[in-house]
Amino acid sequence: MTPEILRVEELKVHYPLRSGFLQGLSGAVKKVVRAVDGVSFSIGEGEVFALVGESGCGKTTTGKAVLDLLEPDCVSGKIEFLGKDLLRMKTMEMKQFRRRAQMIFQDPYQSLNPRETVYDIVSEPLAIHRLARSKADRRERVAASLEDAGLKPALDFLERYPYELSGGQRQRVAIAAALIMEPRFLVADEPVSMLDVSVRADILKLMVSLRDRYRISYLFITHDLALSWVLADHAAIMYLGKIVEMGPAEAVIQKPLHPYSQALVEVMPQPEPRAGRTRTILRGEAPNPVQMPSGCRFHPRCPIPLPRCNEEEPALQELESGRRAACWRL
Amino acid sequence: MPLLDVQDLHASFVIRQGTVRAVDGVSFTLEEGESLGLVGESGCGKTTAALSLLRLLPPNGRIDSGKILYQGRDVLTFNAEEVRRFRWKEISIIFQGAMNALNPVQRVGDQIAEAIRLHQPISQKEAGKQAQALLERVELEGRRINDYPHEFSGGQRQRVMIAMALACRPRIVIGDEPTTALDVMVQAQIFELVESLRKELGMAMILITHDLSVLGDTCDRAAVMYAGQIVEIGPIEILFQSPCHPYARCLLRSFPRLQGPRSMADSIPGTPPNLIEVPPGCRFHPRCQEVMAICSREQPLLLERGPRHNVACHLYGKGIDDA
Repeated sequence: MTPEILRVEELKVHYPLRSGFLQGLSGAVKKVVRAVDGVSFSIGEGEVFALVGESGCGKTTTGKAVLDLLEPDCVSGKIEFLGKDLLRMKTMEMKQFRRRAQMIFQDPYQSLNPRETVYDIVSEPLAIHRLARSKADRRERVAASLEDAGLKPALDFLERYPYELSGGQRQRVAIAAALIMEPRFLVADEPVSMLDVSVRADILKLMVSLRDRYRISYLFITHDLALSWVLADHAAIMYLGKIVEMGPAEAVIQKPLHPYSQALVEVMPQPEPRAGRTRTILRGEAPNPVQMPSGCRFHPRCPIPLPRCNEEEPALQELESGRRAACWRL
Repeated sequence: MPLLDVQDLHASFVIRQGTVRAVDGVSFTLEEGESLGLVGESGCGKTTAALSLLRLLPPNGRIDSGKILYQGRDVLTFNAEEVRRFRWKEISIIFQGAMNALNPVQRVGDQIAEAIRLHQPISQKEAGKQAQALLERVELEGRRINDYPHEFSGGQRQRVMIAMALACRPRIVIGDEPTTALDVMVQAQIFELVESLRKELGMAMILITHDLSVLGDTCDRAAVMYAGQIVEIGPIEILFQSPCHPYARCLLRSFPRLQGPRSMADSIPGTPPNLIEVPPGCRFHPRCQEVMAICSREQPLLLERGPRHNVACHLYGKGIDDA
């Protein structure tokens, strides 16, 4: 068993919906957006855990919640980082955590400050955490971090501005800024979806090599099953704030059990001629997370619903070793 | 005679740094009812080529030379009035970002009706009725003609764009990355809808995308573009199973397959050339793994390799006579 880096139990993120003044007076029940609604999983050391789902399913919110980047009032449940409860950490522990857990955002065109040089961007975390002993030390660390992120020779990049870099290079700068803190855990939120296909492979390979070298664990958030297929050890499929299926990535993608995961796998575009592929295209779109459907939240779109599906919500139960799914059919 | 016959099209943009030759000698044909994919990475000229067909280039862009024969008539010789009648009536386009392509302060029904009335002398009321029918055609409720674009979800807005593109029953619809910002399930819904409408109405289609894998569901043929030129064009089966051009092969490998190996393929080293100063010879040669001496000297021609299959690469016969 690999040691556990992150354990999440019954994580819920509920945002209160702003209501009008009169509605407030009349004492009407406050509506909430249940963005994440009871999610549990754990990530081992050096493991890539993929959280897959469509937009609005709560995958990014989950990623932000485990880094404690959300309004604490909205978050409930338990998040343990290296055995310590994140929601009850003391200031010093929190500082340690902020070093050890970092995030890579989706869009390197927006996540980097256009007025700062690469050196400024990458060295900023050192200044915040007061980690560099001297100017020379800081410079050395920045250079090492850039080289780790594949920007070689680092000296050529230090004084450049983001606009001078390609999309792939920008994402490497973002990775270097995360690496400089020597993280144990990275949340990568769609790190390649804004990049051209020919550079995607490089960034993903970089992520894997960093995992191998520094035993970094990843929470890899993506809508693209094919990426989790090549990268992830474990995968969880989310729908409307819940995990509907979870298990070893290979099994989940090759033999999905939940009807939603099955549909998701079937509609994945593949570079193959159309002949002979059968597929179920789900109708409509995921419902609004303010008015959750009764019972199983997938039942209104499910191709094979049972009578009990709109009454009782199925639990995420263990079916085979290491595989879980939430469906009454199973 | 093909429905559309593009011959040696050149288009460029003038920017401060110089002249960008975005499309540099592109030729292809499109038959009635056929669906052609135009694939390539950002900046390869695929969108410029498509906008040229509609004579819709931005003010700093221009078509330098070539012919765009639509039913035998050269679109590039049309005067302003002819262009106005041709655009949308004969060829229409589904843009990438429906939120930016639709007017945010006008009801979608009015926007569709406007497109119809530009080409048909009918009353506003009649056009409104047609707009409603079109919305139903794309599986939206007809009463939503009174809604504004922000009241639709991303997928629904793209359906509105499709309704608008169909408004005048064009012979050719261009889809410029019509599903790029959408989820896979919505993407599948949109492509299924486009395919059924295309078959029903007998339209031809040009689908522009960077995602080779979406072509499988919709296209009969595909053209791979690199640095302003087509490097390979042929039946989709050939491009998926045994592409010839090294760039086409690299591009195909870049897409992980769910049934394929669980590892990332190698990326293509280097970056695409700057289109202000293109490399001599084959434009792909600085990045090509199979580069030969001739590649840096002579530009390969797009030569026939099989039925309706052309490749521009020195690996396959001499481009220009080597002597």
